[in-house]
Amino acid sequence: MPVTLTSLDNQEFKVDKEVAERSILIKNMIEDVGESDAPIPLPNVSAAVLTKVIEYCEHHRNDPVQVQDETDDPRKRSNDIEEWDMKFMQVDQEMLFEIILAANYLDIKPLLDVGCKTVANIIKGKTPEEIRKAFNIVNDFTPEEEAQIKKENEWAEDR
Amino acid sequence: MEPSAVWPLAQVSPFQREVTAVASAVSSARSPFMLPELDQLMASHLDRVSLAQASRVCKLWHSIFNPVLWRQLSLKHHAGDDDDDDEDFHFVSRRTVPATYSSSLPSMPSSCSSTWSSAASFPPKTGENLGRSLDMTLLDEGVAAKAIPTAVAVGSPSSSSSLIPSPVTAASLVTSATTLIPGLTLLQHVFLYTSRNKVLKGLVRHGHLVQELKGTGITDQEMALIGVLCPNLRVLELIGGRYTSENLSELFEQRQESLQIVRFRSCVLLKDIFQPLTKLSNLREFELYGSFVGNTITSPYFFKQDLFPMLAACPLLRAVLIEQVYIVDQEVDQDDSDNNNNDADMRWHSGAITTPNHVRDNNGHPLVSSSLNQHSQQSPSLTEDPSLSSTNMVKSTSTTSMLSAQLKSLAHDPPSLSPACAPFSRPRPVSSLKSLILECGDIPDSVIRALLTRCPQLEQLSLDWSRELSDETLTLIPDLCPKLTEVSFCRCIQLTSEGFGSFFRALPNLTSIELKGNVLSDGTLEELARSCPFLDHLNLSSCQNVTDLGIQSLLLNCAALSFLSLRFINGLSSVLFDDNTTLATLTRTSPTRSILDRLLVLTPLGSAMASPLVVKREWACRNTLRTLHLPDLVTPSKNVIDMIRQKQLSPHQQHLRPQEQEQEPWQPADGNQLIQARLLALTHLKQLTLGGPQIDLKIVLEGQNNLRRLESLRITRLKHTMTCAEAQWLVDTALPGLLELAIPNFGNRAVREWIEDHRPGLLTVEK
Repeated sequence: MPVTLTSLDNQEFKVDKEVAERSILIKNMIEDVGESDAPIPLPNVSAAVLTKVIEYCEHHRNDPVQVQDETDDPRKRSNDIEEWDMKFMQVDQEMLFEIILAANYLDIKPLLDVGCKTVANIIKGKTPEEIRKAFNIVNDFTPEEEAQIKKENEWAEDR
Repeated sequence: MEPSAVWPLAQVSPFQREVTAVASAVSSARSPFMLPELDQLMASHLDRVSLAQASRVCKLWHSIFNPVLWRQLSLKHHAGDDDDDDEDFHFVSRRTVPATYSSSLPSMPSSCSSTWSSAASFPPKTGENLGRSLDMTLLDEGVAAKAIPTAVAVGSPSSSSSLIPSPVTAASLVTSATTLIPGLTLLQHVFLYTSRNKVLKGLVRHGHLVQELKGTGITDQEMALIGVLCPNLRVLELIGGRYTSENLSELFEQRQESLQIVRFRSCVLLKDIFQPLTKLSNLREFELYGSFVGNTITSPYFFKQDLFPMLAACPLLRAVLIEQVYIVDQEVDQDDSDNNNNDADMRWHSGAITTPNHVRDNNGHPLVSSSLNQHSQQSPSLTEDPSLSSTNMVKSTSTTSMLSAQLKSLAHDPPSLSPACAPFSRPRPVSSLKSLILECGDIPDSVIRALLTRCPQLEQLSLDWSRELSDETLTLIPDLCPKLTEVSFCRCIQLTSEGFGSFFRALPNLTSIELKGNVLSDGTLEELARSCPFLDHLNLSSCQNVTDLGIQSLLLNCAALSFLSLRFINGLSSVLFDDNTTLATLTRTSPTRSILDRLLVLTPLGSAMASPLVVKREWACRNTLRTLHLPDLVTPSKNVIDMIRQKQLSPHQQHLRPQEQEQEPWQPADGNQLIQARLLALTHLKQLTLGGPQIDLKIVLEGQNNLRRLESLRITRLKHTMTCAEAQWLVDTALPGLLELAIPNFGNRAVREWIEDHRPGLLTVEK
């Protein structure tokens, strides 16, 4: 049974229930409301972003549900991203952030993870100045403050 | 994102931060850096170097990433990334360089000639001591002597309460700490490398962010700093080094609210560490691994003096792990080599059970010194530390013993409701432990009993390798711990089949039993089959004195059995698939029918092929059995055949078939057909190990539709070497669902190659 989703800008998307339920938010909504033809409004997600999110859910419709391992040390998690996901995430930064926010709002854990990994991979291996450039951030530290922080955290940069 | 809009960050709550960010979102793109939970997720994907870089980007990012960077600290000998965990398991890691090396270290100032051990042996820091240690370095550092008083104040416990770092004092602390800590570093010259020094300096400003701290050989001074500067410390892991109750009590006292997990790993010597641990009222996990616990009066009385008080004082404790701990008792000294006046019961015998070349030695002496020598080779510090004369130690050591214990109460059990929280005035602390895994060959019987007396809630108990556990105690266990459902008594050499028999009778709710390597009897197994209807998991590997008949009674009666392992049992044969046991089934009491019936009826001469035997009594576990390990089937032993023939002559049987009195004696049925018939009935079998000189795979697995779900098959031995055609039949026709297959290594190479080609990844190497 297809489900209708309505984006922020009132566009309607028809998707399979199985696909829509990749989003825990939608899954819970459907469970609460029961069988209904009424479209599900998603006022936080624009049509452009929703298109991307649906594309992701279509591709991963058959993935097993992730078992969350709380004891797992997050630091030990791998930063590997599947090839398809990698290509999927090759979007401009604005879209990347929108996807992450949508994934967070719609509660799609794997997509959120991939998004955060992508951002993390942008940060990795860059100097602070390069990071600022990459994310278009203004340095609001005084030179003294920056030197102080650098000194304090120097130990972490020893390899 | 508009970072400049959100300063000062430290005072802005996440909520406010979000609001500000959303407000600025009108003009710029929305960014995930405005939701705290997303920040955390992002940060969790960054390594330490990246975190350090990211925290220098801007104020917002500093507030996001700096706390993550400081949350887990590692005071290790060098700052390698999560470096070689294996090293933790050595008894002494590299950092304890022998004292003789120190003078040759190139950049070392002269003041460093004091070894780390002498520094560590300073009495707990008094102002004077700190002053002294600083003095030694001041000459080189050229720091004004005036700095000392402030510096001492930082480390001194008296001022601890007022010293939670605040922005106001931070600046002055930085200056004092920079003078203070280099001094410490130089004293600890052997293993305090630059990064460690920098980490400690940073504690002054960022100590409140630290939640986990790992450290090698932390000194008293460092300990004091950590205690004062890290108010939120939750996890403390001490790797290597030596600690006494004095070293620890101060830190534990200061952090008694926050500390939840304490681990000691590979410590060279621990002395009276349990007493300070009792202060940690919020302790949840305690781990003692690969360490020498020494010079305590407690070694023989470990449970009484150390463990029980800790259990009583730490009501939230839900996991204790004690593994590979060597108890070195130096007190027993000098000339009492033959002195056995100690309570023999409470004496720990020597010899580490996990070291196979250690044979138990009643006297203890020769063995102990050899084992200790062996360890001291791995741990140079034992011999090189001047404060503790190693030769003395080896000589004076009268007992060492190894101790492993794991105590766990299940997490979902709210610990606060457990009896352990009862007022300490209770005469006998009762613990809420649900699981006790204790692996020590030499825990005296009486100690085990005392321990179990305090654990009435136990559900899981493992006393493997207990050389001292007696039948008497075994029969008491059901009264002491009536909730037991899972037990393991592997290789408990003192236990007899009678003891087990009454144990099983008294605990009908047992679901999992490990009895590897015990001497049992068929009677015990019949008792087990009769007593424990819920038995799900049974391991009888390496048991002696067990025959086909005992196994038969289990299989015919245990209706919930899903795992049965019968490895390394001598003399088992295909007869165990038959049903000649005398034990009547619980459901049906009809008399056992002789196998002769079937032999006469069903197997007319030589019809060796596929018509399956019809067995009269089904296995009770035919719908539950998932795993069956039966690798060593032999030809039916004469003994068993004799036993069955004897039974046939019993009046009961004679009554059944009076006219067949004179016929030839009972012969075992064709094993392959019997097995085939039994396997046919097993609807849920997933893992099967099978082997024997008589096994013919073609017959055994013929027509086994329900074995299509079999996932793992291990074949140890067959009648004929498998041919390619057979392998093809096996993989394609008989067992298409197979995921794992092991065949004997010495088999036909071509077969292996064919399978590798045909179904890559299917073959596993048979060990």
